Amino acid sequence: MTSDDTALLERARGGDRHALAMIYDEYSPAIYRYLYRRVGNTGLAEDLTGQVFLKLLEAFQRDQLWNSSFRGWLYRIAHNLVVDHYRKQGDRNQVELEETLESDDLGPEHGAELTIRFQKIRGALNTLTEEQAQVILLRFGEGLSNREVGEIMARSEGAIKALQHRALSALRRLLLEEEVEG
Amino acid sequence: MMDHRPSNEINSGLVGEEPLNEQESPALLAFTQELEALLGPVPPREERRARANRSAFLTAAADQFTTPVPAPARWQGWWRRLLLQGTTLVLFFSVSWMSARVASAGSLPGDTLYPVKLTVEQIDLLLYDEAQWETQVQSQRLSEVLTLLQSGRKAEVEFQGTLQQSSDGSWHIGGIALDFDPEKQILIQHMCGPVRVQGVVARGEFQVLYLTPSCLSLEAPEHLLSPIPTPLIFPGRDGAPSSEPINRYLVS
Repeated sequence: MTSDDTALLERARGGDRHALAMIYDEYSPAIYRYLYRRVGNTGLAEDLTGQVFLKLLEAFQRDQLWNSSFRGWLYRIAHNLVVDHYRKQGDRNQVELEETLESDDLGPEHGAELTIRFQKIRGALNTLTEEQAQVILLRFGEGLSNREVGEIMARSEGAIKALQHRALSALRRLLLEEEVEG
Repeated sequence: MMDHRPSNEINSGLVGEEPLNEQESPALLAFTQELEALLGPVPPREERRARANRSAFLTAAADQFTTPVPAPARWQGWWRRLLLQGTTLVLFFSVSWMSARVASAGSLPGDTLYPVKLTVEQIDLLLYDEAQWETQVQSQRLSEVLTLLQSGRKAEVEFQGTLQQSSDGSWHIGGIALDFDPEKQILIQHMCGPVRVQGVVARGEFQVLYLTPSCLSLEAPEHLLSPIPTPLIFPGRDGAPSSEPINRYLVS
């Protein structure tokens, strides 16, 4: 967290509306992307994004301090909300993908193929442990480094590398099994 | 933010503490590239919902922070409050001052607002030239006595003026006739300079109680040096300036 971010957080903690808006604008897009990749539904991802930032206000009220990474804290809250969501829903493997992935470079057929593939990956991600799914999304979805993911997950860089390896192997095996079954 | 580093750079930390076997490694590296391609694009946020979410967050924040004043604004707020209070005070005193001035302007000796009028005059002394102020105040006192005489009201008054004798032998100060005991005539004739008059207005007549002259002429008879009340010291009698108080003569 930079000194500017720290100052921004301090102002937001004091109730400065401008600082609160800046924090929302800076961090909400990444949290939304992370949540979308976890739940595969834009509406639900948006709702959960809103909840993450309401949790932030509660943290301000409790005078909670972020000694390590504020961004990591936001991802952790987002992750916990996803876990709660699936717990309430009862079926973690339910695929909620509604939208077709869009890309200017892809034709409609290729786009549909990508969507099906993404659905499969999401389904497989949901069978991984929470930590494995989180490390895959942060590394390959958000493009964060091992160090950054380590900060977010409160783990060492080495532990993240090992976790990432296990997650990738498990995910690939699950997808291969699915293809063989299919 | 998305990291657009090349895949092989991102995957450089892939192996970590658990070495991959030779067969698995290339396949996993290819899989990570596929993951990046698939996980990368995300449908855009629905603008209306995103805006609503943002508003809900800011509204909740506004509710939570009942006094959302950042540190610099708090300092500015202190000065704003001070300025506001100062302006209010100045306005209050200005309005009060003007109201008191207007309300007491027509008051006469014996009225409730008359002391206010005298206070206003004392404050005016700080703002105006002293000689000009003195002339205005004495003119005002004489005007008050004339008004009281015309109205027939009773009041104690005090004013200042120059003694003048008419052709018929009667004495006046500022147009107000003074009636003296003939025994005091000699004394009156030797008074000089402005004379302060204290007396009572009642039923349209003015009764003099005391005359206080600025000086007595050098030719004044010796017995006038001990009139009522005693002791008497006449400033200026020996020709030298004196800070002694002006003496009063009981005339009735």
